[in-house]
Amino acid sequence: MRRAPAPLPYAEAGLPDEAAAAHALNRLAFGPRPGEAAEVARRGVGAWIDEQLTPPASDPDSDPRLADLDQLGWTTEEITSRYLTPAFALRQAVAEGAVPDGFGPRDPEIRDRLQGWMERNDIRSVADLRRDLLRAKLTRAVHARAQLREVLTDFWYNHFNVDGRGGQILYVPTYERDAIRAHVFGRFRELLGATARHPAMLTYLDNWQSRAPSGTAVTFGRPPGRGGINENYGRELLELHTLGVDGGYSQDDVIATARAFTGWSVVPNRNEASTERVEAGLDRLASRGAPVVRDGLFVFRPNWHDAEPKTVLGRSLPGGRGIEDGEDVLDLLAAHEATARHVARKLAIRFVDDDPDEGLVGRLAAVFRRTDGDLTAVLRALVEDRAFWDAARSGPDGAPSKVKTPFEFVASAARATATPIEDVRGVLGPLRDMGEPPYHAEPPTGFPDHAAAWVNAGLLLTRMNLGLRLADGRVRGARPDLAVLTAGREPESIDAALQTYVGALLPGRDPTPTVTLLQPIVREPAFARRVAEAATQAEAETPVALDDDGVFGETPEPPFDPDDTAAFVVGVVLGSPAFQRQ
Amino acid sequence: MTSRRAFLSSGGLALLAAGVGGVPSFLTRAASATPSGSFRRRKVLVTVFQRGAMDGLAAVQPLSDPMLARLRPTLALDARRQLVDLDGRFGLHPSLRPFGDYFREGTLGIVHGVGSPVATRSHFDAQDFMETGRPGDKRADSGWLNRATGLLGHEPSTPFQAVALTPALPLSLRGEAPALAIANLEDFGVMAPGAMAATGESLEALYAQTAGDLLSSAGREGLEAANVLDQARLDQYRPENGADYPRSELGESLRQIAQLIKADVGLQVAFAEAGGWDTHARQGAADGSFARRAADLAQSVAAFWTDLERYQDDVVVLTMTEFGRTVAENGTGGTDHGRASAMFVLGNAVRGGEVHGAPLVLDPDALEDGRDLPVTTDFRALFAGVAGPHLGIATGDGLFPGWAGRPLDVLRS
Repeated sequence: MRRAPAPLPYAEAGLPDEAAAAHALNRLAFGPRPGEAAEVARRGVGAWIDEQLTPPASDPDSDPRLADLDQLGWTTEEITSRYLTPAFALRQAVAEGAVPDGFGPRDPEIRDRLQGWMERNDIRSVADLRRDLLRAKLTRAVHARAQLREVLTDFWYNHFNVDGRGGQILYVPTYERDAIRAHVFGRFRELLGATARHPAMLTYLDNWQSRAPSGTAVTFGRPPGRGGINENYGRELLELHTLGVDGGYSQDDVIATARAFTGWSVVPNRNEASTERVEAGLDRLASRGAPVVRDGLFVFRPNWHDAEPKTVLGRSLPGGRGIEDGEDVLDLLAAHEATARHVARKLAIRFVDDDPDEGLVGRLAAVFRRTDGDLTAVLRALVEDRAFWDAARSGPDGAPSKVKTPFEFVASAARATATPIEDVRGVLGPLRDMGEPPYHAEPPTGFPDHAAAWVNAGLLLTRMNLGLRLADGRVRGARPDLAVLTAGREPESIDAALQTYVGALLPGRDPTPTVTLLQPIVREPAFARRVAEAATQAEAETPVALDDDGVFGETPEPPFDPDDTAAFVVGVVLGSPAFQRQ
Repeated sequence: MTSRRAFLSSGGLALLAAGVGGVPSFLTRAASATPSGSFRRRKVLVTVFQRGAMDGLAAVQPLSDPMLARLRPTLALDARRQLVDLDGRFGLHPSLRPFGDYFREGTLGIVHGVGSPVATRSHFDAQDFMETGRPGDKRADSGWLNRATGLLGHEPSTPFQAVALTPALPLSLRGEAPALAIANLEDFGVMAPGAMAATGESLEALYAQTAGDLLSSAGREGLEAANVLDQARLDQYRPENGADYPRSELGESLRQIAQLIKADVGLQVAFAEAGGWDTHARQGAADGSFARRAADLAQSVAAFWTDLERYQDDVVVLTMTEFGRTVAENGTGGTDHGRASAMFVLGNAVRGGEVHGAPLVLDPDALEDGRDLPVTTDFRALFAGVAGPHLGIATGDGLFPGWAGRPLDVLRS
């Protein structure tokens, strides 16, 4: 029987219901939508959090918006066989005689014929997959009712990062869906095991080719003639996925871990001849009694597995075994104290503070260990901890403690302004410039999780600019619905507009400092005229004359235009310091 | 292009003020306090961080070590047919051929066996140690390039004194001295001209009023910088001397550093980076993934050097990488994390045409842990030997706290 949830200690942290709701929406979701903080406060913050911690598998708010993306439901095999790079598609089309040989895919006539061949055979382009995946990620971040699942999927994907550059992107849809999203409320061991077996991880960190060195006893058959171990996965498994860089392992542990994972491999799927050859080889092995394991494209190759005895972190793994070696290492690591602390610290960084209190880390790590890595239990402990709620006001001048990552900024701005994102191309460039192009973190560490890495002059400019353009409807494929923010009532003066939009975009926070900061901007005499100029862009670069003393001459004030003002004030609030915090 | 000096003295200041509705504070400081032309001849240190740990032995290979072919059956290159002979002892990877020309001209120096005195094979730790310049100290949070900027001995009269052409500010440039990170100069300068011009001054004020916060200083510097760049018309930049930059991350970064140098905005410390050096599998020999990275490095640096011909006396380029790789290749045609690597220094004052550092011995008995090239030159000795004489700064305890070593004698005084 589930114990009754403890009351959430937000009143003790000095937060009224709506401020607590807004804080929960900022941290456990991608920011509040218009009116949402008030609604969550009315229904009860605890009830909303309970819903978020136990969501149903399907999402009624985001799934229908992705109904046209049939590939989100496909298997890895289906995706890898039906999405081709232009060069690969051309080779295949030439082989089938649909396109003459000796031309490149850029040749206009060849491109048309190739296009036709791809459409006839329902073969798709890798570039489309990349765009569709980003659309799915943004759509879910903006619209999903189960927001915490999306926040956690983003968090754990980054923890178990796989870079989706080039052909590797083909493995990303099922990696995110089956290895990450499916386990974010489960046990850490399951999440770890699912990433360890997925072709995305096995290829990204090179383990798929790692095999017993020649002269080493293997689980079945003769040792391979050439080859040997690759340490990459073993090292990152210890350093990044589980123990942490200070987790107390040695170079010998790295090597022993790499040996334990020899033979954890992937069946190639891009070339039918080689797939058939590998599968025939595996069938032959299996028919002779070899412990081959197949699971989708994952394969354990017993003739590649180093069957000598090994020692990992002081634990002896007896010789003569197969896939059990790797599974035992995963068990050992998942239950290790250093892993509990490493995971607890990373969660505390994501949800509480860039430099989290060691006491909080210790409390979360204790829950992790007591519950055998039950991630829902750890999250529940997190929201029941005073530290989580104190973080709403522990930043400078009583602001929230954390700065939004670039992706969080984009998603929260879209949510705050009720902006569905129909076409991702408009935000992809800014995300790249801010250093967070989704699915494209090259190093296994993923994107940085500290504000110092992404708060700097250039990035804030990009944020301000994106905020202004988004509010003004000038970001491709992203139309905001600002009327929702004021329930259709247009503010009657510029001061009223400022009050209204600060309150609507930053619910649960004290509006006074932000209104005070923004007031000189919106009251500036030349302001409305300049906005009008900016909007029309007719004589964009014409300098304005200066008086001798360097002060602007008198210019008549244009009439107040509520439409332009709404977009401008909203844009300025999105670019303001307060909106950068979560 | 209008130089900064001309721009300040010809009434450009008034035009700038007109465009954005106010005079950025650093510019008024610069205009009143700085003798005209003083930016012009300042030295620039350009650093390139090769993330992922470059295989120094693949880049700069001993020509006649009998162990090499044994330990690297598929990776070692043929000394006579494939390598670019440097000095009879070492050969350069063919993809780095442009570096061979600079080496022969005497402007490129190579240091082999460079690395951290603290042994770690974690990218995470090793990059941090190299960027903070404080090996072993995990709590260090300021970068050595930031400290170098602080030691320059004059007020930063421009937001462009220290710039990273990266989306995020690298640890190397974090710290007390102001530093700027810019992903893309063009976007930065011409960003939504209407809206930004309309709000620039006001948002600057907005961020300035946010007290004591990361967001405050970052916002202020960014707006000041955007104001200057808008004037400099960097979007119309054309490289000189037929310089042909690769369309890569590094090529783009170096092209933009060249733009900043020529725009005369007071740049002194620049940072660029190139990823993809973590060659665990299918590293390749004369062709393949290493060769592609190496070609990008050499072509990007060569384009930069060609483009900057008029400024070469003022510029030194220094490469860095967090560690080297195993001497023996692994089972997947790649190399795993090792210890020492090789680094390049390019400039007219460099003691070029020389491979600095202790002789390499590849016999497993001479290797660290029987597998890695040992560190014979502390990276701080190299960095101090370059930054000290070039930037005219003291390189003792202030630049590398706790370090009492001697700078490597790699620049002519």
